[in-house]
Amino acid sequence: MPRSALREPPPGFDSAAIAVLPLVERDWPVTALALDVSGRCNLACRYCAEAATQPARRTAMTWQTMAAALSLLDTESRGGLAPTLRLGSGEPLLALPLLRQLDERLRQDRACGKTVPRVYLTTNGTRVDKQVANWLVDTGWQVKISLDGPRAIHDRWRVGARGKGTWKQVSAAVQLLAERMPERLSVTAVMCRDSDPAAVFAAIEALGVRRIELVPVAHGDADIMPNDDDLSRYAAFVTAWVDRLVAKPLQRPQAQPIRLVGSVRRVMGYDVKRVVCGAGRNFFGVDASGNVFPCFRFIGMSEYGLGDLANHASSDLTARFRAGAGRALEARRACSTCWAAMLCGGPCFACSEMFGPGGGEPLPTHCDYTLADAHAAVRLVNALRQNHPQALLYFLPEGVLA
Amino acid sequence: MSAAEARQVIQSLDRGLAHYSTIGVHLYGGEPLTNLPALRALVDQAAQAPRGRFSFSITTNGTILSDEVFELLEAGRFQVVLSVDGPAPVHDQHRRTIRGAATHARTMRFLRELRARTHCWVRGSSVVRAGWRLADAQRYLRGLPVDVIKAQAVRTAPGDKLGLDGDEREQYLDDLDAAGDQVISDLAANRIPKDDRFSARVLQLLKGETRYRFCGAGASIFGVTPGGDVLPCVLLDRAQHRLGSVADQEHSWVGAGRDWQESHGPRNECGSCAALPLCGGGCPAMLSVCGAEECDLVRKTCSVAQRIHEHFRSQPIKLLALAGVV
Repeated sequence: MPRSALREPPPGFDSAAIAVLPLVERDWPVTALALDVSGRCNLACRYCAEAATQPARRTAMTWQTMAAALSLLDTESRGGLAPTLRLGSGEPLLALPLLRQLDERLRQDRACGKTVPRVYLTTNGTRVDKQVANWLVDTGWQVKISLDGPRAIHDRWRVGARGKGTWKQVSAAVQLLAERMPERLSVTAVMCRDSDPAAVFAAIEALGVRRIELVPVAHGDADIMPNDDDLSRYAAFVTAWVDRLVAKPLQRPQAQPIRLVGSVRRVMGYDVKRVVCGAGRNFFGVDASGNVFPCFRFIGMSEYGLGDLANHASSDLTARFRAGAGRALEARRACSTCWAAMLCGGPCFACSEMFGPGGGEPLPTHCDYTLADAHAAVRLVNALRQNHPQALLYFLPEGVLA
Repeated sequence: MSAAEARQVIQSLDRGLAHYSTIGVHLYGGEPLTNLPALRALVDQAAQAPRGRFSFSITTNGTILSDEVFELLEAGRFQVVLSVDGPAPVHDQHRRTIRGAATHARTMRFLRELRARTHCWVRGSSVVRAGWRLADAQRYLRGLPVDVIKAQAVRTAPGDKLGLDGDEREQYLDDLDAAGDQVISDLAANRIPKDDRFSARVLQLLKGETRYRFCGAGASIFGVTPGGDVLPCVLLDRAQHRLGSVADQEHSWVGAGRDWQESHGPRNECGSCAALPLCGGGCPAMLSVCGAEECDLVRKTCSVAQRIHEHFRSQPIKLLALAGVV
C-alpha cells in the first residue's frame, strides 16, 4: 500500500464513533514510575535512542532511592488500583541485587495485605541465565526482552561494546522464558532499514513468544530509519496477518503483533486516548539518583527535569511539559488533520521532541507505521463484525475482560 | 452493527416514529458494551434531536469495565439493567466469560464504579432458576445499591434442566404473593416499591383501562438487528417476522408493523381467561418457547396486581407511588 493511500481513511471508518472527550488537565495522581535502576547498559546497540541523549555513565540506584519511589507510589495511588513500576532505561539486570531486594520487599508487603505495584522489567536479555530465569518466573513480574528477529538482523544492530552480536544469548533467554512464563513475556523488535517484518516476526514466534511488538526505530541517522520499501513490507505483513484471521476467525494465531492488536482495540472503542501515554501526568521516569523526568526516555536531559522524588513533579514544570512536549493530539498540526489520530493518541513525546521535525510534530516514519496498523485494524474489525463478531471478544483488553 | 448503521437506526426511528413524542432505545445483545463505536454513534446521533426525544437503556452483564464505557453511559444518561443473579456461588455457576472465568466480582466492581462515576439509574436483574428461588433473589438484589430490582423465572422450554420443577413453580407463585405483600407495605408507608413488576397493571386498573395487546410490539415497540432489520420485537425470529430495514422508507416498516400487530392479537384460548383484560394475550415471543407455563406466571402477576389495587381501593392516591409520585 503506497504512503499516500495510508493517509486516507479506509472505507466505512467513522472516527467520531470512537472519539473520547477532550483531555482535561487535573492534579493527576502518580500511578506509574519507570526507574533507571542500573544507570548503565552493557550493550552498544547501533540505533540506541538513549545513548544519543543520556549521559554514558550514571550512578547505580541505591535502595534508599528505590524505597523513596515505592513510598511515592504508595502515597499517590492509595485506594486506587495497583500502581505500576517499570524497570528499564539502561540494563536493569546489571542491578540484580537491588532487584532481588525489591522483590523481597514486595513479597513482604503483599504478605501484610498491602497493594503492591505490578512490575514490568525491560531487559536486553544478555544477563538472563537459568538462575535469573528461575527467579524471574518466581517474581510474577512481566518481562519484555529486546530481540530484533533472526540472527542476521539482530546482530547487525544489537551488539556489545566490542561490536559482537548478542543474538545467541538473547534468543536463548527468550526461549527459556517463553517456555516458563509465556503469558508474562513479550518481545520488542526494533525495525530499522532492511528489517523484514515477516522474517522478524516469524523468527521470534518460532521461539515460542506470544506477544511481539514491532517498533520502528527513532534515530537521527536517516540511513538507519526504515524507507519506503520497509514501510511497504510492513503494510504487507500486517495485511497478511489480518487476512489469515479473517479467513479463519476462530483459529487464533499463537503469536500476536501487539501494536496492531492495540489498534484493533481502539477501533473497537477501548483504550482510546488523546495522549499516547501518561508521561508527565500519572507516569514519570526516575534516574538512579532520584531525579524525576516525564518518562524514562527523558532521563538525563536536564531541560526536561521535573524535580526529584522528595519534591516530585514540580507543578510549574509539569504544567509546562503538559502544555508543550506533552500536549494532547489536537494541539499538534499533523494529528489534528489525521484520520487515525484517535487510533494512535499522538506521537511519543520523547520521539517527537528528540527526533521529530520540530514544533511537537510526530516523526513521519512513525506515523506511516501507525497508519499501516490502523488500516489493517479497521479492515479486521469490519470483517469480523460483519461475519464473526464473537471473534472480536478476544481482542478486548485484558483489563476490560478477564 | 457498524457506527454508520447505528446512526441510521436513530434517523430511521426519528422519522418513522414521528407520531410519538419520545423514543426509548433499549440495547440488548449479546453484550452491547462489546460494541462501543455503535453505542457512541447511537448516543451522538440521538443528541442531534431535540432534548428528550431519545432516551437510552441497556441490559449488560457488567463485565466490561473501562473509562470509555462509563463515559458513554453517563453521556447517554443510560438506564442500566445489570444482570446479577445472586451471590458469587449462584451467579458464577452460569455467568462466566468466554474463557471460563467467574464474573461476580467483576460485575460488583462495575456496579460500584457505575454508581460512583455516573448518574445512571440502575435496575438489578436476577434470573430465577432451578435451585435459586425468587424470594432469595429479591432479598439479594435489595441489598445492592440499585434503584429497582427485577427477578424473574428463567424462560426455557418445558423440561429444561434450568427450569423450575413443579414444587419450585409453586414456590415461585407463593413468592410472587409475598412480593405483592411487600409492595403493599411499601405503598402504605409512602415508599416507592423496589420491585416494579406489578406497577403497570395496577396503574392500568387505577385508570380503568383494558389491555388489548400484551405489549406494543409492531406498533410502539420495534426490534432492530445488528444488520438493520426491523422486527416487531428483538425476541422474535427474524426470518418469520421481519418488517423491513432501517434503510427502507420508514412508512414501509411502520405499516408492516401495524399489519403484524393486527394479525397477532390474543389467541382464541385467551377469550375465556379472566386475566385477559389485564394481560392482553401473552408475550408473542415467550409463549412459543415456554407455552402454558408463561401463562401461569402472567396470570399470577395479574391477580397480585388486582390484590394490590383492591387493597388501596379507599386510598387510591397511595398507588401513585407506582408512577414515581410520592
